[in-house]
Amino acid sequence: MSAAAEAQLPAPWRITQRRQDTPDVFTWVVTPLGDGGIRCAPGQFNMVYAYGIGEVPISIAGVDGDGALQHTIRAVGSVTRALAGLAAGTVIGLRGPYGSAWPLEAAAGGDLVIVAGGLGLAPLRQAIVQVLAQRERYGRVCILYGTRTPADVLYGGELAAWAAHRDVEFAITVDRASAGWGGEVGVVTRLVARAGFDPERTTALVCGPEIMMRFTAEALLRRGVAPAAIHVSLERNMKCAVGYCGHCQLGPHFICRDGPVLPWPRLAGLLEVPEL
Amino acid sequence: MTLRELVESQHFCRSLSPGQCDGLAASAQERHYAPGDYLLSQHAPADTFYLVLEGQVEVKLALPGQGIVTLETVGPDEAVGWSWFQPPYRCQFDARAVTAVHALAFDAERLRALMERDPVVGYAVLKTLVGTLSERVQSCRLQVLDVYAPPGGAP
Amino acid sequence: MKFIDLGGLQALLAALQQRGYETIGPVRREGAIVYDRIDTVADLPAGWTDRQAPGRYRLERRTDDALFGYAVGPQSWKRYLFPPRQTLFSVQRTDDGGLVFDPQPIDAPKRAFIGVRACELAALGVQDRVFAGGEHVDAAYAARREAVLLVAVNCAVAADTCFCAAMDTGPAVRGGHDLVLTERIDAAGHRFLVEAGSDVGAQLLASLPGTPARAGERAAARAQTERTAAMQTRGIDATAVPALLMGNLEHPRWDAVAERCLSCANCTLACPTCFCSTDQEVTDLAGAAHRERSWDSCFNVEFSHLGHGSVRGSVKSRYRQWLTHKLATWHDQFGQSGCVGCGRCITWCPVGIDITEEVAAIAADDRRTAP
Repeated sequence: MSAAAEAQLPAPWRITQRRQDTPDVFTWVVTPLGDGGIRCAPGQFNMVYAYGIGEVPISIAGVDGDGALQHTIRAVGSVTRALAGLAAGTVIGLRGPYGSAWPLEAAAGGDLVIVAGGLGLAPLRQAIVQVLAQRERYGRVCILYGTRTPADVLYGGELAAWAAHRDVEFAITVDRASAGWGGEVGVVTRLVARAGFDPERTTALVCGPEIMMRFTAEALLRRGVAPAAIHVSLERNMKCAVGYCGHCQLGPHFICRDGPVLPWPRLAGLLEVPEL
Repeated sequence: MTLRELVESQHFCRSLSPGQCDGLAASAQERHYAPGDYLLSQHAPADTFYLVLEGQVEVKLALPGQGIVTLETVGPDEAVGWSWFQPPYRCQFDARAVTAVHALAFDAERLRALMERDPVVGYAVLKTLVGTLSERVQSCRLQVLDVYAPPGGAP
Repeated sequence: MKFIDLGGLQALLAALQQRGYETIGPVRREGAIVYDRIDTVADLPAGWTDRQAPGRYRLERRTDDALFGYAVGPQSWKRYLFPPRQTLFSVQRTDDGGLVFDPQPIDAPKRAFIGVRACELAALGVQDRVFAGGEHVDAAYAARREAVLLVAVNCAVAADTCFCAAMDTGPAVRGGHDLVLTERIDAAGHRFLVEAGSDVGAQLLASLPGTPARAGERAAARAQTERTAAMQTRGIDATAVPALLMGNLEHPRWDAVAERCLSCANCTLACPTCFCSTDQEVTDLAGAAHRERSWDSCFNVEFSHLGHGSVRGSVKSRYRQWLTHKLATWHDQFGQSGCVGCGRCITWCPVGIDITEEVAAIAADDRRTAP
């Protein structure tokens, strides 16, 4: 981590591209001004700062070759709604990367199941890009993506490429179909039962709403995947991103520092307790 | 694979004797559907229990003013239809092939008779059916939760 | 080790001030003993003690003129090291739309804390681990902490709410100090046994006017803190409590305490170890924005806010978060308890919720099933 990130001081970055993915989700490409580039791993997040507005944790959706990063953001709170209004060209602040990463190295040599729910595809996108770039390092690769409606599907063009990849099992399902949707309908957990992976040599990466991750983990466990091979990415309120502010605690964990990616056994008994 | 072998390869046959599998096979047929073909039609007699071997089936319902809505899709190794098990044996939904579908189709009347006569067979089939049902109910509950909806309610 | 009298104590304050330290110690203000700047010994609360109980705090006259004859007041030293409000950085927007981020210069004045209790020394140690003991070091905290000189006091009285003995943090000062005083008022007069705990402390001690103390005086000081420990009636089984609480996360007692808890956050503000904060964007009329950090509390409903609402919406869940963090998960995070047994949360709870009583109630009705 850079000294500035350590000091919780943002560096200026510019929004060089802005794309509206769905009515409330948009993606930025951001590039550092000056020498402010960062090294990060898929699964980590940045604190994104907007002048006069505030700061929010946003997962890193993409690491482009020239030091640019991608952030996919949903306008849900006061800060993210304000971020939605920023045009390409705007200078923002960015500090990071923070938190733990998907265990892509440890997973090499075995099968990989990537299960994304809704916007949970964003923190997994760069992991998928990286895995496909080094496809030969993994056994079977399954990408299972569930979202709300066909209109909520993210990264459409890339999905088509993943689906067309001859060495990837790609499945997409929506909770609610609309006219013209010829794909699967139903929750993403049902794709787990059918996916072609060997549970005994599989690493699973799961990201989505917490309830979706719980049921997905249970579906993976039913298939025989070892608890320690299941990794989920959690979301909690975060202010400092380095374990001082206390907001992101879940039991013994500071999600900002110990997470956001955590192996399933470390969450045993925590997610089931209401309001913990 | 012969019909007998296909039946025997189904999950619920694992606990059954060869004779019991023969009985099940006697009530079964292999069927092939082209995309767009209906396996089940709403309000029609529920006279068949399907196990999908290959392909994808969608469960649909026509809503006044909203057209036909797909509620869920069903794939290989999954069951289609359980109205055959309960009176009045009428289909509640449409089931239509999305892709080319290869399925095992059990004659409902013969299957029910076999299950009544031989509770071991009945229990094995029921276990499969309950497994399917519980998975669908859980899935349906998650759909009802609308977990990906934006805060403050969905459009 | 030597005895000094009131004149010697005044000489200590003067020596500290001469060395550039701002001297901060107990003063009587608005019916409480609080920590503030002191210039002379006359600023200290001579002859006052505090009577404390759940939800109750009163100052009373002592029969003598002891300067440190009280237990602990509503404030702790944390406000000097972890200020209730601090600026993290400022941001200027340039004419071409750029942003310039200016880190806040670190302000770390030399300060001498006078009258630090054993539990408070322990609390400083707890916050040191939070802010400066891990991978990420809060440089401003570390600088402020480094600039502090600690003159501790062995407790001669325990309040009704004190339980430092159970938490193994006091009442005797055991380390982390520069000097430690033991106040004595007896036939020999009003004097302080002074012992050094650091090189700086030893240098200061050598410069003070006083009389040498015999080796046996240390034992007398120890006997005094042992009497103070014996006055304590409250306690927590500090070893057993983490597993007890984490194994009873859905115990009905949490519902019962939530019926009383006002979720007012007093306990977290009075607590010398609570460290939660929130950051806010503040803009001034000149067009600069400032990132400000202020104390926050897990009792605030917005504390755990996510897109869909707060993770901990109920008072029950917020009280449980506070207590389990303080007494249980703090061990996982920092290798020690977050509670030092000062009793402030008991005294300053407006409805008198007693942390020790809550733990005891769960222990008496342990719902854990045998593994």
